[in-house]
Amino acid sequence: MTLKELWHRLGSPRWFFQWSGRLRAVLGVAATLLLLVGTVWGLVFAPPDYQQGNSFRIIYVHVPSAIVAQSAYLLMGAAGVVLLVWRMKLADMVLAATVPFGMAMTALALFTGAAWGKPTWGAWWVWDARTTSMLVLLFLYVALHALRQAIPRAETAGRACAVLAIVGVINIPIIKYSVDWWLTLHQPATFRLTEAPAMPPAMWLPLLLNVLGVYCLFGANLVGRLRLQIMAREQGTAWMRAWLTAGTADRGFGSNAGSSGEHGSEETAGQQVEQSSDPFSVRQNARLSP
Amino acid sequence: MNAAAACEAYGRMGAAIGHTLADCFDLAGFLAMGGHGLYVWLSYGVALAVVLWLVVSVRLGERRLIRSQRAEALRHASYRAAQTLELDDGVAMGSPAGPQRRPTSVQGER
Repeated sequence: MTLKELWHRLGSPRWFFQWSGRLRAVLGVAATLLLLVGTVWGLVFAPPDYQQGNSFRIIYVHVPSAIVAQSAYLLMGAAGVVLLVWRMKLADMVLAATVPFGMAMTALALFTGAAWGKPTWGAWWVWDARTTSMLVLLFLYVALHALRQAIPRAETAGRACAVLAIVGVINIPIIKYSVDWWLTLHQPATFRLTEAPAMPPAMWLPLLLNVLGVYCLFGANLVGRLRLQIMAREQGTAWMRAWLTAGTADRGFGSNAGSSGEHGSEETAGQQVEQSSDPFSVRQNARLSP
Repeated sequence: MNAAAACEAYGRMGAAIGHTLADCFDLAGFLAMGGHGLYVWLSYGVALAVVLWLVVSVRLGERRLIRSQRAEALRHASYRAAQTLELDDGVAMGSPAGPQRRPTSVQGER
């Protein structure tokens, strides 16, 4: 499959639905393993910090959640561009499906930051550049959620959210460089791509595992929410009905789905005819059957 | 045998000498986290709750959607089967609306 074909296929929610169940399972298992090992290692086996003692163990929750919250926002910005330029259905779904995870992770990063700040800085909250810009990120997630709820027409809501997501991307470099641009209380980055970490491996390896684990969790959660969106939006289409009646829903795409209508436009045309030709309710069916 | 010696022995011989892992692991000290237990466990507790919510909300939503939509899909399938049967019997033959015609009277319909 060439890159161009892949791009066109991404326009078809059906194609994504076919294989994404397996992807979610793999990501879920990877996330469970990585987070379990990373967390136990960080809590039990990593040595205490020479200045902060054991409170530094909050890092194994704080840093992964903060990193993935920003990555999720960047993904939404990219999805926003794709939606506005190519009108891709899947991009709109990504935009909607990322919000709960990003919001939860931003809130978690802020909360664990507060719980770490109390014993370290002596205050639950300071209006420092890093914490304030992260708070702005939380407000952006809340705004994206509220905006979608506020606009009844799905297409308009998607486009409005895309614009807000793209504009809000400006906040991501502000969060990243806040610790360098301003004299703030928050410490600079723990990991840098260009330098060796200042911690011993027994301290940074569990952190790395948890960062990777939370990315897998993000992937699994995003795929799960995308599948929910597809199920809701494609309800009543022939292929969704075939999948639902094919036996256990978890085993992926049913084999009796039919081979015709592989491409987007033909598929939707067929589906609409199918939907409109079903005016019967349950009781009427009961009468029709012998 | 003190705790440190027990740990050393455990490392070499394991449970064979009758010492459990609890002899090597200072649970109270672990929970206290050097006086920072409140902050550490608060963070990890909230993190666990958040992750569980994220996972469970998707699972529940999926189950609900599959349950309601599968019922609809099965109704649709049985309607389709009934339609085919009618055509085979010749009942619907000659009807101008074909298989899409509505029955003229339906019992129980409001």
